[in-house]
Amino acid sequence: MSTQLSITPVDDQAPRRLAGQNRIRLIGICFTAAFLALAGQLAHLTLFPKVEDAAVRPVVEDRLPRPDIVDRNGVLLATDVAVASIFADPSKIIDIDEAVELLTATMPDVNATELRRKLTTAKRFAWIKRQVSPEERDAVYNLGIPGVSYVNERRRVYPQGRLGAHVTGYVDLDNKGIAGIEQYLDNQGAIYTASLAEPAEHRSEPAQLSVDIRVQAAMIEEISNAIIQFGAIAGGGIVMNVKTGEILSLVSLPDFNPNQEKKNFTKDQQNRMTSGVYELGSVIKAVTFAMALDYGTASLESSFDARYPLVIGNARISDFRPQRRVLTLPEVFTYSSNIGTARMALEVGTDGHQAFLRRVGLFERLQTELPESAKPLLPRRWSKLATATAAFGHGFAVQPLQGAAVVAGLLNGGHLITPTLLRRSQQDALAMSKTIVKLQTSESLRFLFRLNAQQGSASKADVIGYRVGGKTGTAEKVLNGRYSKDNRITSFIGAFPMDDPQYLVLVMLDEPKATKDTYGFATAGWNAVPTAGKVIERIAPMLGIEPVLSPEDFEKLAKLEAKEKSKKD
Amino acid sequence: MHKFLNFILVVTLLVSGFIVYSLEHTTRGLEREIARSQRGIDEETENMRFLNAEWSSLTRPDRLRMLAAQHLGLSTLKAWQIVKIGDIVTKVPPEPVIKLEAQGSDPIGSIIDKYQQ
Repeated sequence: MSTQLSITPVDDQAPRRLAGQNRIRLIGICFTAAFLALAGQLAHLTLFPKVEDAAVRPVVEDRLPRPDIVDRNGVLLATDVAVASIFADPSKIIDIDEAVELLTATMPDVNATELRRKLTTAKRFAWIKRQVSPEERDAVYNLGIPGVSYVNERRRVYPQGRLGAHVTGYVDLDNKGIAGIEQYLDNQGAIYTASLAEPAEHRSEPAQLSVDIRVQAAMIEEISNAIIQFGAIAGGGIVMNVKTGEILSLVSLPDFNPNQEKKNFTKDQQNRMTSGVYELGSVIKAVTFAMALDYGTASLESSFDARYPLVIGNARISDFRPQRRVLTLPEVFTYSSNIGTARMALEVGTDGHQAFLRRVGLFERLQTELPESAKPLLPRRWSKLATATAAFGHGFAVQPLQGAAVVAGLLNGGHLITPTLLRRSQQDALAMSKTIVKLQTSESLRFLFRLNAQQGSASKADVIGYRVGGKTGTAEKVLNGRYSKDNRITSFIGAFPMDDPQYLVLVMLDEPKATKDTYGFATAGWNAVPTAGKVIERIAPMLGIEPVLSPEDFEKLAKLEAKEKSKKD
Repeated sequence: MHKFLNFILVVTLLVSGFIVYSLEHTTRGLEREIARSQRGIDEETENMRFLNAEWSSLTRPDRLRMLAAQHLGLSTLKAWQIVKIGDIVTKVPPEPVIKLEAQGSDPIGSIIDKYQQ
């Protein structure tokens, strides 16, 4: 074209031709621009393809997915499953009677008259059955009734049922956590939930707990057996790793099934281990002993006068099993002497006592991942009498979990560690711990605990081979503002193996009764302690505690065998 | 010159049009396949979740304990039933109860001998 244009004609037609040329050129430019635009767009689409979404992908949930919850060994405790719900569009059903007949034949639990009423009254939509099993869904789908179809709904299920109830908690109908770890996950905010999620995979990493479901199962079974055997109204138990503060088991009975449709749980079913405060009774003596030993006001060689009841003002402190003599410190522990312990606390003094209780955190509310937590109940006025009685746990109520945490701290070398329901390493635990007593004090306490299991009130928990140590407590319940002689809370706190404590076990029974087998006794040594013994016997091999049999143990075994034989004969 | 250029352009147009449409067709097909696979994956993931839940429910420790007690006659493991591997020597009777070699038939021993030769 340029060559043609360069020839400048001289005749009179020239201006017209030139005008025509210009128009063609303009059109050419327009077309080139248009084609370039098309080519550009094509290249753009080929090189940077737009990510296809909504139209191709199936339904993407708008709600953040809840992470699965697993125990320390990866056993599934809570998960989301899709469950089908069957519905009908009655306007599309040709023969309602036939449809009703077929549907009730496949799903026998659907009420025929109810279904007929629904299908005749509803215009465009009626639920036939919510949340059916996949088998039922397929069966109904295969009936091929026009107008009957299903939608998938998400539902939170707890495959372990009751076993993890108080730990996992549960969610409401909108999948919002309203108790236990479920609520904790929600309170950590969407950020925490989303951090667990892999958006690309549309799945989420499970939240791993410190709980061991096997230990939990053993604890639940033994405590529910004990409740039946001793006619108790409730019970609870805790197993905790004393070195990391990880809770392996947390049981509170009566419990509930988190899968239950209507979650109208009563106060009786709440988590007693954290949301209630109880007088742990003589178990608290362990704290008093630790205090006196740590302050140096008493040593293992000290002795205390327990000949007469201790009189302070117009109150008398007496012993449950009076020995009426001067007791050495280990004897005060094994006979669980109130007089001796009160004297020990009085030697330290009211201020020192309060300071020590504050140091071990018994003045503050213990807060773990569980939303349910209760504040300790302490004497309002710290008089001399309050110190004397609080020394053996009178008028002193704490969450059982808090009591367990303090005793664990006293036994593990003096490191107070906040208990947790999530995994935690020993280093992390040590880094966040607070030193409450000297290592030497801790060692003395281990000796006292072991001694008490060998010859004291906790002897029924001394499982052969596992070097158990423990302290028992029998507290009278406060009913109508007065201590009741017949309604007791019995508890046991112990740890094993005592030469290097690994796990702490707490067992608590609410109002156990005396039975024929217990010779009319209803104190901890006859109910909470043997229960704890059974639990330890079951969980120690699971937790990898190596049994060590001493010569005395073999003697005991031989005696047991002889007994069995004589029974058979 | 013009005619040839136009001809070339028309041909190019037709050819490119054909390529574009066939590309789009295969793309659509692939997209459908992706969607189908995705649905399949989702379905399988859902199945996995369901089966995991079922597995967890069936292997509940209390259920296993009940079954073990009922069908296998098992009960709680006692401390004295656990023996360290080093201590096994002391638990083995000094003389084998049956002397296989003396009887002239030691099937396992003969197999070992065979492989050693």
